[in-house]
Formats: sequence, structure tokens, C-alpha cells
Amino acid sequence: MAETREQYEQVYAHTYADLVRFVIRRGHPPDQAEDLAAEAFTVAWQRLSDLPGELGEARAWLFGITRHLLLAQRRSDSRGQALSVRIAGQAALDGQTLEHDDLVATSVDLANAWARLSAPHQEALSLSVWEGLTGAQAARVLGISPVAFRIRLSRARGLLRHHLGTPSDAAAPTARSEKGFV
Amino acid sequence: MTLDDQLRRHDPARDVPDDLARSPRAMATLARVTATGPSATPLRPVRRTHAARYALVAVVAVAGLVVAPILGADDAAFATWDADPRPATAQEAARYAKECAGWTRVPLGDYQPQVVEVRGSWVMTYLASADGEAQCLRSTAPSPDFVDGENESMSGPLAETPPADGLATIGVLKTSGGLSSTQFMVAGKAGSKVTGVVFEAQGRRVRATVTNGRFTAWWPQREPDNLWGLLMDETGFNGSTNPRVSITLSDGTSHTERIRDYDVNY
Repeated sequence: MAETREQYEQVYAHTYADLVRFVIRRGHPPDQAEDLAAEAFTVAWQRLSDLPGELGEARAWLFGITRHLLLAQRRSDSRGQALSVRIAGQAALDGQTLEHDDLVATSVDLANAWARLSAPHQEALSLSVWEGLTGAQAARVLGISPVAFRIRLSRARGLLRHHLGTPSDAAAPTARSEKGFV
Repeated sequence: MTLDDQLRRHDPARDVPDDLARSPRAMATLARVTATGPSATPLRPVRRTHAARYALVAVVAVAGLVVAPILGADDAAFATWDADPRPATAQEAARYAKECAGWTRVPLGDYQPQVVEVRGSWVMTYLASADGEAQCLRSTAPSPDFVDGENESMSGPLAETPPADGLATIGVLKTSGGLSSTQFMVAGKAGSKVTGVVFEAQGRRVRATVTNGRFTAWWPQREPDNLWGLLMDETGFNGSTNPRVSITLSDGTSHTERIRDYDVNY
């Protein structure tokens, strides 16, 4: 028990900020995000026996709990089980790669292209790029198969590239149904 | 620069410090959560298999009623929450149905009011169409922060038709936005033999309204106080409540399950 408690506290220290980020990316202000994170950790404590031993897996497991909490709050999404994800309107300025003017133009284009993605595609990209999960971990968070996630992520990247390269009124490639892979 | 590199630069959560877990708030949360022992019982619900099927019979409508008194310390915002609801007048029903349709952006012609019930200063409206539902909760009492009265609403697809002795819902909604306290809303389809639905939520028995093959209920969250353990026991995997639900059938028998067993998302 003591060992498990220590493990929980280690997971807490390692993932608290990541959980808050996870919620913020899904449209909640920081204060509410910490409330949600606290709720997720409460559920995790309640289910301590299910806590994965490996830190990365525990982190993914907590993302899954948090996602369920968010979905429970946002039952109004008639498409069901997907959460839209925000994108920052401006890039972080680290001065490394792009000139400032280029960066602003890229940010606007990227934000517009991102907004045209469906919620499942935004989630797939977020889990991969921002949450930094492996394909298998992200699939578990979404409750789909790793193959389905790989397909979804590939389509998301393709659609984002397409939207970055075409004006907003151009026809996007038809998104084929993923039913059957999920 | 790759596409992923560009995305990383646009992370909307990049301002969250890495050491946030060491903030006073985070430390206090950890202390609070671990102050009690973790649950010894795994909470992952066992999915119910609906093996039995029954012939269709007429649906019986039952008006909602809460049968047990409220125990413990309830939020002051729900001081007027009435254990014995009354149906809205026709004028009230028309007004609140229109309002609910507006909040949830559903067409009022397609969506018809199924239930409009009044508990003290609180009105719950449930609309349903052939394939969708909307549920709204509002206070008729203005407050400093909500001059038109607090409100919360939701809408979504109508769940699949359940077996004759069961329910189908897209989940219990735990509301925390737009209202000064937390409450739970649940709605869905009731099987053709279901005549009564009673939730056992945080020590209360909340009887749902069952009408036209639909059921709906709501209840305010009881402040944890010294009932923390009880609250934990009834908080499911996704954080929404997962109370027991007793279902009475037209042949007089009843059975009790967890509502999660009827959640189509699980």
C-alpha cells in the first residue's frame, strides 16, 4: 500500500501539469483545468489498483480518465465521442527558425487550417504532437484500435496539409468513414 | 520545419509551468485526495448483457416524485429544491420548451416537450424528437451573478431502443458550468415494460419521470461533508455519478443495476 501510494504521488508529480495542459487544449481556462485535473486524480486514487506501473502508461491512463470527464461535461456534442482541441493563435517566439513576418503568416494559416479539421482529427494530432503519446497509448485514450488511430492521425495530417495549401472555399478531400477500423 | 514542429509552437497550453504540481493548490489537492484510503473495490463497470427479451407491451407513464427526504448539508442554491415536483402549467411548459430549444439549438417543431416539471424555483424541461433529445435545467430565481436565473442545458442523439426491461442513456451529465452548484441530469429511453425508475443517489431515492418510452431525472449534488466516502463510492470512472437504479416493470417485478450498465457509451 505504501509503495502504491508512493507510486501515485510520483505519477501525480509527473503528470499534474500535463493533465492541466490537456484540459486547457480542449477549451477550458486554467482555473477550471486544475479543477478537472483534481477530479481526474480523485478518480485515479479511487481506482488505485488499476494504476499502470509504467509512468508513460499511467500518464496516458490519466488522459483517458480526464477525457471521459470532459465528455461527460459536454454531452451536447451530437457527433458523440470527440473533443475539439484549440490551437494557439500565435506561435511561441523562440527566434530559431523563422522570420517574425513569416511566423505571423504561418500562425494565421495554421490556425485557420486547424479550425477546419474535425474534432476527431484535432484530437488525434493533439494526442500525438502535444500530449506526446505513442500510437498505442493514444488509441487507448480514445478507445479505438491502434490501427484506427494510425489511420486517423494520417488523415489528420493530410487534411491539415491540404487546408494549409488551399483557400478556405476549396473542396477538402473527402474524409472516408473510419467505421470498421474503430 | 516540419508540420509537427509548427504545431508544437502553437500549443495553447504552453504557458503552464512544468513544476505546477508543486504549487500550493496542487499540493493541497494531493493532500485532500489522498486523505482517505483508496477504494478497495475496482469500479470498472461490468457491462450488462441483455440476454432476456420480452414482448412489447404498452408504456405506462409515471409522474416524477422524489420519495426520500434530503439528508446532509445541501448547497444553499438548492434550498428550494422540492422533493415533490409539480407539472408545469401549459403556459409555463410552452415558454420553457421554447427556451430550452433555443438554448440547445434544436428545432422546436421536431422536438416536442416530453416533461416540464417544477421543483421549488427549479424547472427541468426535456424535449425529444425521433432521434434526439435535449434537457434543460433553470432557476426561476434571479441571483446576483445570473440576473435571468441560472441555467444549464444539454442535447444529443437519442440512445438506441433498450430491451423491454432496461434503459438506454448517453450518460449522466454532471453540470458544473452556468450554475452555482453541481447537479446531475440524466435522460434516455425506457424499455417497453418499464413503469418506474428510481435512482439511489448519494443517499437519496430520486424517482424519475417515465413517459412515452422516455425517462428523465435530475438531482442536486449533496455537499460531501462527512459523506466523502459515499461520494467516492458513487463516482464512476468518468467522474459522473454512477448510482444504482431500480427499475420496476409492468408485471410488478423490479431489479437494480448501475446506470452505467445502460450507458451506450460504455
